[in-house]
Amino acid sequence: MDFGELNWNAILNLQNIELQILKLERGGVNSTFMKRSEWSKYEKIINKGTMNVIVFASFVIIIAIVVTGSSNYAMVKRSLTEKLQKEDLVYILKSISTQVDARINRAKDTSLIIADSPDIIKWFNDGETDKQYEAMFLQQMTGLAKTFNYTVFFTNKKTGHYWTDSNLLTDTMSKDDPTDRWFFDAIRSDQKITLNIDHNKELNQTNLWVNTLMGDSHNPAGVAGVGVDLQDISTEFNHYKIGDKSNLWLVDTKGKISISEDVEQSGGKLSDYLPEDVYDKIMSDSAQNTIQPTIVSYADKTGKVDLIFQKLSSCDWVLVFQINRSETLGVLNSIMISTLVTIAVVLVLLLLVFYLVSSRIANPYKSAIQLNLELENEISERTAKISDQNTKILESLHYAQTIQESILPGSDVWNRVLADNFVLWKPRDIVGGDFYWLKETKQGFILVVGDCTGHGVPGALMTMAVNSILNNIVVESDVISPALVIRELNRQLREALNKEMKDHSTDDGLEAGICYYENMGKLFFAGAKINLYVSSADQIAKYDGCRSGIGYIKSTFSSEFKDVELKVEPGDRFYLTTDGYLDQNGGLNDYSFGKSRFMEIITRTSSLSMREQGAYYESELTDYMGQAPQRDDITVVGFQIK
Amino acid sequence: MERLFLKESKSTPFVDFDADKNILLIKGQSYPEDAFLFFKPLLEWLKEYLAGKVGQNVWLEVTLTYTNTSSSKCIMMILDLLEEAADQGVIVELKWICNEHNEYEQECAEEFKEDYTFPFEIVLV
Repeated sequence: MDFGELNWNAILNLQNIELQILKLERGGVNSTFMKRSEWSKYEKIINKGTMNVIVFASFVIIIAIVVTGSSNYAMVKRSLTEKLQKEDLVYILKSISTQVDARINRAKDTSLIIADSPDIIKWFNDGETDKQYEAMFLQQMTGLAKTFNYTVFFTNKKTGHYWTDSNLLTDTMSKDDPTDRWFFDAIRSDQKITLNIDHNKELNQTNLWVNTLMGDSHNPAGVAGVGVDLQDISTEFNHYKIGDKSNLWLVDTKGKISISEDVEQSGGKLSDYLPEDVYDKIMSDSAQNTIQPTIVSYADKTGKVDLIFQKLSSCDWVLVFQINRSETLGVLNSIMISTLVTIAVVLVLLLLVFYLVSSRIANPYKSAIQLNLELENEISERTAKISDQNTKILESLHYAQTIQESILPGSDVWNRVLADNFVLWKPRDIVGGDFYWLKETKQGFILVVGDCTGHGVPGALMTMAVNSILNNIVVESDVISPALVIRELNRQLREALNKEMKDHSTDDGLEAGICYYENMGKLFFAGAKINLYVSSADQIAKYDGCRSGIGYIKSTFSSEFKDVELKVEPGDRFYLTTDGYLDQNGGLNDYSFGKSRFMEIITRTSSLSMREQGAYYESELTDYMGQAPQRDDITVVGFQIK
Repeated sequence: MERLFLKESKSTPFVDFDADKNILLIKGQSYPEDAFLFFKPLLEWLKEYLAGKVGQNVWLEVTLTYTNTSSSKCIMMILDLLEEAADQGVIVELKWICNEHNEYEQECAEEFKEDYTFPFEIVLV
């Protein structure tokens, strides 16, 4: 019998839970299907998550690349600079100086040989009179020139004649001619060899002249020597140039640029091209006659500049090589560019990889959401079904309530038989196992207040059975004994519910309190687990029912079970209640309401009419319950006899 | 015998029947919709358990703040089993613990006590 009720409660609970789920998930909007906008909300979450991962990972990898790239850059830069200064510049300078030294030394050797030729000295001292030797001399000179690829010259101090291999006797030295000054300077210098350079800008020629005093340096016969075209050295300089921002200079002791790879600079002043302090250092260091290369680094408007210089071993001239660091470290730019290109390529690849990976990672997530949506749809469909069933069940219950109420006595009967009364009838689940039954008889009336086992529909079904049995038992004309009614009810109910089967799984019955009033002031009471409370002028009395229920397997009522007979005084009030009211939990400790409290209310309400008392009992109970749910069906009946 | 242990729920009491210590505990409220369904395993356990306890001590301790009618009937079945066992020589002792301020508990315990002959002590706490 409890099965239907269980189901009903389960359905109510399930629906409640699901409604809550719906409210949570949808923000209170009940719609059967998920809207499109809600889908895109999920997609946004996915895209946002994916993008976060991509951006974060890209950021980390770019940082890693930049850090490695820049540390590589720094290391390469340092080692390149070091190599440049310690090795490359020194190597370049040494190569050039060795070459220049070799050329000059060879020219000096050649000059010494030809200048100290005794035949020529003798011919010069004789005043070039021997025409025969002259022819031989000219032949020898042109031969030498051809052999060494030099310009060979001889100048006689006595005659001032200037002989060269190409033009033979071309000039006569004159002290007034400034172009001849080199000759007189050489004679006067008293040095065996002096070097002289001249530039011919039109011809783009730079010639080194080795002026050698012929014979005795103190009294030379003249000045002889060779002229070397240094243009090829100048060309050689070009080979050592790295980029546009480098310069190679051969500078004489006075700071004049003798040779430069740039013809425009030849003959110019070195100080025009260098900061003052660097220029001073070059001049002072080279004056100390050391031939070690010296490196100077400085910054000018074009950036960092490395400069190396070294005095030549063949003469006092200084070779200076200057180069802008941006040229030497040009390779670093390519490192930088390649790093940037790597970053770009890695980024593109990363985006591609992350897009693929994240779309694959996101897929299970997406399908989980999809599944969730499907479940939600299913739930809402089921909820709709359940709600539908719920409505049907509720309708059915309300109809059952109408039926149950229809068998309960109406107010017309109450008013006819009694002076005043109230009925508090509150089934827990719309219908219930509590009932009251009132029947007018010839001598008076009989009132039954009962509580069948179970609540809701099973309880209500029991009340219907009990109702019909009571209608059978009580015959209007009879004098009625409540104890006999109970005994008969017990018998018939056990019979009706097959109690002799001894099957424990169905053992149902009821508790009841029965009052029979016989006119002329006598009231008979018998109860099965229900008591009668009587409030008279000076006291409250309680008449206990027996401790056995009616209709249960073990229920037996012996012949000793008898009515309680009461003499009714005017103003006496009678109360019957089922355990629903007495057992209802509430209050501070969540205890049951209790009989004492019930009896207190009887005392407290003695001045009220029965009708007013009904409202009072109800509000007392409501206050006591507070938030606690109703435990059981509740019935309280109070009455006053005419 | 296996120990019978049931957690307390909203409408059923905590149950701990310990066959080794011979201590049986019931504590809480009992008003399930189908009381017999809940108590059936308890009754079966007890039947089997008590059968082998002749001459031995069995202690039962009950605290019930509320029982509905059908639960009361099931409790009665349990007590009937104990009474039967006591008649057959099991030394049964029952301690029924009531809150001294809860009239309902005390009345309930007193009603039960009237029906049984084995030692039945009502303890007010």
